[in-house]
Amino acid sequence: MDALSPDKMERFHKLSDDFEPHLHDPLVSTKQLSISIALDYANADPTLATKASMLAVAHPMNRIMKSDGNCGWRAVAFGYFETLFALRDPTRLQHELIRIKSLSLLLGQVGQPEQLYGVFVDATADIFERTFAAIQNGERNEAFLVNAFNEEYNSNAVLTYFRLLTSAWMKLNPHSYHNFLSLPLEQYCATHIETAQTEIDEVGLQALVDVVIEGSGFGLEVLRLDRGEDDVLTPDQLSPSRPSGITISLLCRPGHHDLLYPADQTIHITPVVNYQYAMSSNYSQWDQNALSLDLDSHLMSIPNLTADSVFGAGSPMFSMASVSPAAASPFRVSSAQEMMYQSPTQSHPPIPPIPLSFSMPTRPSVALPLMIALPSRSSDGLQIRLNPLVMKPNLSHSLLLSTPFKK
Amino acid sequence: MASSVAQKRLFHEYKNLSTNPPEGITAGPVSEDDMFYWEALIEGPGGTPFEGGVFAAELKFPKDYPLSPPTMKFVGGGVWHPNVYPNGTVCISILHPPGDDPNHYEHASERWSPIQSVEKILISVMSMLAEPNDESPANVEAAKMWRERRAEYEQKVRDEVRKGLGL
Repeated sequence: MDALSPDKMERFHKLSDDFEPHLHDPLVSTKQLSISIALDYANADPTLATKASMLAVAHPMNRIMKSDGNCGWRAVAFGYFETLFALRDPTRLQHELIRIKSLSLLLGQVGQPEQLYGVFVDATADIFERTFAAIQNGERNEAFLVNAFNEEYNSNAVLTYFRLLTSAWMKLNPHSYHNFLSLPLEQYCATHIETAQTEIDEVGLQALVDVVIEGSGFGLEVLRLDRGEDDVLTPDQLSPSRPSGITISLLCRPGHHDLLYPADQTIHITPVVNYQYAMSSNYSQWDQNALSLDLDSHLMSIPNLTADSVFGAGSPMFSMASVSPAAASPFRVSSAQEMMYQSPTQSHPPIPPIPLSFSMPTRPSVALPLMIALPSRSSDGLQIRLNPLVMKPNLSHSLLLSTPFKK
Repeated sequence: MASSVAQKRLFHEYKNLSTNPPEGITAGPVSEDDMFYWEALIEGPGGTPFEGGVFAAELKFPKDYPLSPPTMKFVGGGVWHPNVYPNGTVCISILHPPGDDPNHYEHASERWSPIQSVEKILISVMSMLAEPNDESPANVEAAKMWRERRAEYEQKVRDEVRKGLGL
């Protein structure tokens, strides 16, 4: 093989030097359907594909962070402010502002001069003020916060404050962290926490939760979408004490973090179209007389038709017994399906107050109902059923791939 | 907002540097109308071939300082050093955020973070003059000379220093 000529080499060097990936991606995206994550992995390793489709059911919506080396930090900071806004409690917001500002005392304790960090505290307080104003003005959704976090300076200044707090907290509580580090704590803080554009790792994330999130009473859980042994997505609770039950969910893929939204949070949306369901308690009958509609290619070309399915380990069959009451009711629609009818680019509906009695969506170990929804296009209402055979895991990927709403 | 924050921060740093300057270093904005353009004077560290020299450099700050680092360039030439480009631009890890390393070299050394300061940069540059890092040279010729023909390197530096002083 010929070696590259110096000219070519130089050109490649230049290309690599100038390469800026995802230049126009926003720092924080609007809410998006998690089904697109499932589709991204549909052809990937089976473990990943299975986990990704589970994810799309339990957490139908997500928010993508730009991969600029700050994504984990930004996801936590945005999730924190978004949760505060969703509560719409000015007193609590005020209380949090005071708490977050007073945390700057930690920076003094580790010898940071006020004039170096003051501007970052101010930038963070500014986001609090905007959140306060948004609550007062009755803003319907968190678009203002997305905008604020897409202003690079303010956004990065808040992250810098959180980085400095994390670093100071670790230095003041070394016993909690130093055993998990492969290098001296001081050096770890200087190279992995304080330095701009260094991605957060597990130790740093735990410390960030401990110093910033824990005191707010919010929980923070991490769902890891990786090729780990177990084929279920088990959330890691980073804040075991969750007094108010409100949880920020992070999706962690190797080297990247995004935000996730569980089904419960978006369930109070008024449906924009009528749905008709076909749910049967008698699958065996279907087996015997497979419907001609089953996975018919014409059927699959109907826009907006989708199927959500999750495969519980060891329980491949779905029975009525596993259908949750919420999903069985014709007026309660799983939000994955509801959102199917809304454009991902559309500004999403207002976040309802997060229910205080927060229940995690159905665990993957419990079989979820298979539901097919179709907007009613004619008065007689088309009913569609899926043969249970298609729910075999090995068919799930082709099912997802053949769905017509795929980009 | 960004630039007013940067201005405020730079003014603080200027005030601190002028009331309590580190030994051998003077720095400040060229004109008070523009806080984003500074000039610095660094004395050559004692016990090195740079001793006796005074090196002028310009510092240019980005609008989002301190989130991004400034750039630094020796003006008037005369700094023959492995980590200084022939045009005078200083290449030192503290001036680069991670992922922005012109030499694609993973330093364990200190990178830019918003709690660094002009003072820390200038002190780092001063110690860089005393102890070059030849693993990622900006001036390959100088690095080779420093590594292989140290005496010649030191003589060349001394000559440049004298020339710079007009001797």
